[in-house]
Amino acid sequence: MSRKARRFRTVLASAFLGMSILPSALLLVVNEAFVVPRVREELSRRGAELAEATAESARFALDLAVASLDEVAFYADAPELRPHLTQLIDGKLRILPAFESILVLGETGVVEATGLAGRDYGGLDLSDLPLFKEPKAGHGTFFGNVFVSPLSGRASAFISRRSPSGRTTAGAYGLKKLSPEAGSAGPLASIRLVDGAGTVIASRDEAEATTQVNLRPLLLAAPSASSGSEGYAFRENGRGLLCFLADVAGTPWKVVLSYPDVYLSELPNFVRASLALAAASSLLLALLLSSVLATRVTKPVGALLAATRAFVEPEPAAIGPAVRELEELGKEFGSMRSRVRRREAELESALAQRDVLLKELHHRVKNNLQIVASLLALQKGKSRSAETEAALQESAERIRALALVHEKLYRSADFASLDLGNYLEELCANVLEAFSPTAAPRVRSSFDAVFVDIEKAIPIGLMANEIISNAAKHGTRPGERLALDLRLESRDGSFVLSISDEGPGFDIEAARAKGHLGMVLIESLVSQLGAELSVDASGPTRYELRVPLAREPAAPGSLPA
Amino acid sequence: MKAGPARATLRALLPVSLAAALASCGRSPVPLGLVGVLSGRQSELAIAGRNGVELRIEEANAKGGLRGRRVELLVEDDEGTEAGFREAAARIAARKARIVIGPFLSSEGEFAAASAEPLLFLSPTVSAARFSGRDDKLLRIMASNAAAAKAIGGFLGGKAAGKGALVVRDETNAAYADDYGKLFAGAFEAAGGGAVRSLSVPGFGQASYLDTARKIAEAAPEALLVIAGGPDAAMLFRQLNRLGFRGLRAVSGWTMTSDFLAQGVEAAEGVYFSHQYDLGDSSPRYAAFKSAYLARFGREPSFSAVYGYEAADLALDLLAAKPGAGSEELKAAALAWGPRRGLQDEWSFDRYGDASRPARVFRLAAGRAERQ
Repeated sequence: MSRKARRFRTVLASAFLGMSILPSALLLVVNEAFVVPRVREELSRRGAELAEATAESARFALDLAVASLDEVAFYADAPELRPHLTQLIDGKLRILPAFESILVLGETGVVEATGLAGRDYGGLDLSDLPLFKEPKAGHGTFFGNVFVSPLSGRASAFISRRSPSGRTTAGAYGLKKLSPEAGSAGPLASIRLVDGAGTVIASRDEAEATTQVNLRPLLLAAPSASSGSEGYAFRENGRGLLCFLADVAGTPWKVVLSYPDVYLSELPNFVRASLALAAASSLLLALLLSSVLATRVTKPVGALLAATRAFVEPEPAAIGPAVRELEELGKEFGSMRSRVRRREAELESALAQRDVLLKELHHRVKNNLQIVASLLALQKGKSRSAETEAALQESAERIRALALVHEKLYRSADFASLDLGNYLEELCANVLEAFSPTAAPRVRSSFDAVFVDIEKAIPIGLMANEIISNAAKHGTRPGERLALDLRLESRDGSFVLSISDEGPGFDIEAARAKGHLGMVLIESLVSQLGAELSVDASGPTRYELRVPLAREPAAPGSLPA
Repeated sequence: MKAGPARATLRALLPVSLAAALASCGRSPVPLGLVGVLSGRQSELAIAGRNGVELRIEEANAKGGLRGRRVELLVEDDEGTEAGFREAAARIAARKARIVIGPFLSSEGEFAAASAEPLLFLSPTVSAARFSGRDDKLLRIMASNAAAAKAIGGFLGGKAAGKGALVVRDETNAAYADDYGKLFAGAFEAAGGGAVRSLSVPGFGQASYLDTARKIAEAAPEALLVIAGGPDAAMLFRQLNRLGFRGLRAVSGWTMTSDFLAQGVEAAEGVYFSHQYDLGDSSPRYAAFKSAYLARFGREPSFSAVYGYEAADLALDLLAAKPGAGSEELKAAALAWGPRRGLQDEWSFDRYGDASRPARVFRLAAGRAERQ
């Protein structure tokens, strides 16, 4: 490919790329520079606030729970209040829905009192359990992990408190629903209170608490042990989460807020992937289009260029198939041109030969006819009968009229048509000369340019010969010289030949009745021509012949042309 | 026309870009069901089992899932009732799952065996002997409790030497407790033990631990077998200690959960049990699992977690091997699978879909299981 073609392709590709990728790139930049950071910032702020608020709310509830356990312990330690202990616990259970059960354990870990109506857990030994073992003496508080309470049979996290007297008050903290703040996290968010092992104590989804869902990996993935306001990403079973942790102060428990990654990762990733796909598709399309278009445009031009170069500077090694094809084509054109020229020369030669032959033919016919006319003239000189002499004279004139047609034809340019006016003028002069009138005839003529072929020229010539001969013989009044008027007019696809004299006229019916040869000949030729003849012989005599220019079939029995 | 390098590159890139576009459209996850008693007093077994299943699925998803599709665990709590189980199975089937891991309690085994849903149930822990030799849609990863019941019965019978035994049965899991109690009694007496009496408890949600302990103390058997959930048994032994009970103490395989060990502590000291699960196994494979489980859940695994993990492992293998197969085809594939390498031992199904694993007798001492 030439340098120009490559440049053309590059420009084309660049134009396509610019038009197609630019919008995607612009959207990508806007997405990355503005949308994603704003969403991340807003979610981070809101997530951290909500997690902290929920943790504070939980801490408040736990403070209330601890205060309640202290109040129970106070009743247990005071002999005068002890009879009211069970009643107090039942009251606490009613107003503190987070507690499923409240126990008072003696110094050995044996249950002294519970608030579970109808159940007697008095004397139950719970000394092995962390709720008894863990709290320190003197208002030590223990926040345990979730397990199934042997008393309620439900998953709970115990809070226990050791009073200065050595008694332990414990409550199964089984809050299933979190505080109202959780509701403002949005429908897609999960918000949970979890124990130190990551097991859910309370959640918006109660089943997570009752079935002890464990979120330990989510806790371990946090950037630091302590909670912070920064959210962090976590993949849970192939799904992305944005998480926030908040410590419940003074406890190993935490509040976990998590958003599905649809906000921060999946949605931006979808946008990125879509834009990247659009850009990649545009890139491919642009490259394909530019390649196709460039190839369509540059290939023929390149081939011509190469062929031209090959002709100008033939380098056999560099001549490709295209150049060879063009060479072959050129040779074929040259050969064809030579053959055409040769054929043209042959045709021209044949035409010239034909012209010569025609000319010769007409010349010989004219000569032969003149010889015949001369023979008839000689015969007339030997004749003793005036009538025979006249007949021979007339025949000789008729033959001369025919000879004149052939003379005009071989003098014409195409040997096929003759100028009828010119012919009639010469014919008239010849006829009048043959009859040698005493006084020079007065001939007026007016001819339009009418060209006729031999088939019309001969009958018209014979008719004109007859009419002019008749006029020369009979067309004068005594003492007057012959006056002839010849007109040839071209009219709407036909021409009109009119010949008139100023003589006395003649009896046309009598002439027909006598079978005058001239008259018979005229009418026969009119029929052959398909023409119309009108004769006014009332004196002076006027012939008007209307002949169609288009060829019409000759009448049967007519004279051969 | 001869293709130029640019055109050839474009031709090569086009299908790649189309494939990438299709891949970016996302693929639906592969559903895998789990059903069991996940809440309440008897939930420990199913919760530990679910944890084991979750661990295995999380491992699979971390490696790209099944043929690039994420595995989604559909967890349903049936609360131990037949209606709850039926509804849970229907919900799982409606979400196009074909395999369900569960149930976990033998009392639910019949629910699975009779389920009308097009599901294959792989139970990690249903081990009541009554389900052995039955051609149903319940395949059991854990072996029948018959061998364990006979083993502990024979062991205690030999130690009791003509003296009687008392079997305490928690009727909330009657299918398991009845089978285990009968097999234990037969083996105990056959081994030279005396008469075996039985004490049925309608669940410790209704019975008092102290009352039950007092009845046991009054009966003063030479050997005591408690067939109950781990937390309940721990609480019961604690009360028995307080009452000064000194007889031989044993628990069923069902009881030997991590909660029993965590909550029983001193009360569980010296308790005998027979199990196919070796609490003290130190093989690298099990140690790796135990370490991963501890890191994931912050507590020790129990046998239910182990068999839950193995059940999930089998389910994933089946779903990978038979991507579009129905439950019947999956069952046939499972039965034809051959020996599988479990976390502790090699095991396989018999033609009815019951696993065979050897049972051993252990004694708890200082929180560790000593093989007897």
